[in-house]
Amino acid sequence: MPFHYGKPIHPLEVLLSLLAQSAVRRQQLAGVSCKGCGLTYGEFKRTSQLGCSTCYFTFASLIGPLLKQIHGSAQHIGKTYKRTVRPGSATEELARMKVELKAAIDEEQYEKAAQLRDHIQKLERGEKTRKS
Amino acid sequence: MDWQTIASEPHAWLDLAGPSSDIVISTRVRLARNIVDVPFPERLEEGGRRELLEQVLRAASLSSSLSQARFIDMKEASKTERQFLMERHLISPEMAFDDHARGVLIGPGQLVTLMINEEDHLRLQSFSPGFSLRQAYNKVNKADNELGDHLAYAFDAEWGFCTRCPTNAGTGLRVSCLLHLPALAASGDLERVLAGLAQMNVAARGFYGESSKAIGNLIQISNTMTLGHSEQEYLENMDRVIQSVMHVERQCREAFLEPKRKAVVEDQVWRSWGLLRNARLISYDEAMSLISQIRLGLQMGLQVPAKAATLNQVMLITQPAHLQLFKGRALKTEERDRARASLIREKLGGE
Repeated sequence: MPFHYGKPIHPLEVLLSLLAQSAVRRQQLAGVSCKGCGLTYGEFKRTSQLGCSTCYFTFASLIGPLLKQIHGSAQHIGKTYKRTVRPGSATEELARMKVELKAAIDEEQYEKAAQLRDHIQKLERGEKTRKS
Repeated sequence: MDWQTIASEPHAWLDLAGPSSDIVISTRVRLARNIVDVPFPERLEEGGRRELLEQVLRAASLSSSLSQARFIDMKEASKTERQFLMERHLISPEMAFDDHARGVLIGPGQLVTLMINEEDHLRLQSFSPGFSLRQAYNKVNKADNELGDHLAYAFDAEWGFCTRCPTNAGTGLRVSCLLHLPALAASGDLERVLAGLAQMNVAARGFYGESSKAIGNLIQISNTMTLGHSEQEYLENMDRVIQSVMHVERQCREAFLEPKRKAVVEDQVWRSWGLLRNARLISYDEAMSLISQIRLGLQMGLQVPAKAATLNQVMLITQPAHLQLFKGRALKTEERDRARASLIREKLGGE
């Protein structure tokens, strides 16, 4: 008895076209291409494949809902990895400041801690606008 | 490259000591990883791919899991050799039929492999015999930790590991079990059972992976979701799924022991035995169907003078590229069918 099981159906194209129906999003993304690899919004829409890890942030407003549709969640809770932090990156600075903040609190240097906290909040807001 | 040596090495299928190996032939766990700030292989130029390949090989040489691994450069491997690796599930079909700068590291015992520049920069796989999810995961996880110490993976706290296809993002984890389900197939309920799997977030795939067909009642079951749960939870879900499929298969096998039905199955098993030991031309599909019957017969306690280990070996070595590698040349379909029939008669003591 021969069986043939096709590729599991990931309604990617359907989803992407649904998402793309949002005129605002389409306009926002129409001219966008990824700084990391040059992938355009059109190419992403056509292939539903990404070009590099930076694409995840370039097309963040599309990817969040897409991941949620595919996996039922857009929040990773599995294995974590820490070495991606690049020297000099905002992520690295953030991580360094959080360590400093904890040290400042431990040492009861509250003025320094308050400064660090404000700086961290500012950086985190920056991160959020980049991603959402 | 000494391909005869590779061909004679152990393989997860041939080890019958694995748990539930009467139904689950082998377990495979894969992790997809990419390097941050480097375009995925598809969008990387040849020079970039070569550079990445070398970077990953350096990292692998520093890991205990892969420092002793053998590297096979796809550019240097012939079509038959690549297909041979695919038949052993050591590389994906995609890897086998493409000419870019890519390759595979094969660890000792062919139990851990690392595909470089496949769909993702790294596709790390581990195999273990029978139904052994944790054993396979622990091995792949260890290799992943070691490689991650020397490579900068693309990872985001919110979305996990970044992969080329969003369907693999998060954990990048795919757990697959290769199951032999002859009784369920004969009962006519296989399609229904497999269709029901979708609700448990797993999918049935063919023998060689996505979009391939099932042969010899062998079904690969894999998870479809990769983000939002931990690796342990995905393993637990897979464990539940496979346990329930095994339960149904065992029920169907028991139903065959009822005297009237047993007579029919017995007849089929012995006919299969006769065909395999006497055929002069046989396709891989037909051989696999007949072997499937004999495996079922053995598991039902029929006195077929075959060893399960020999049957698994025949399943492995009578694949087209295996035959051509043994013969040392390309074979046309009819030549292959003849070589296959002859090898099977030799292995099963036929006329």
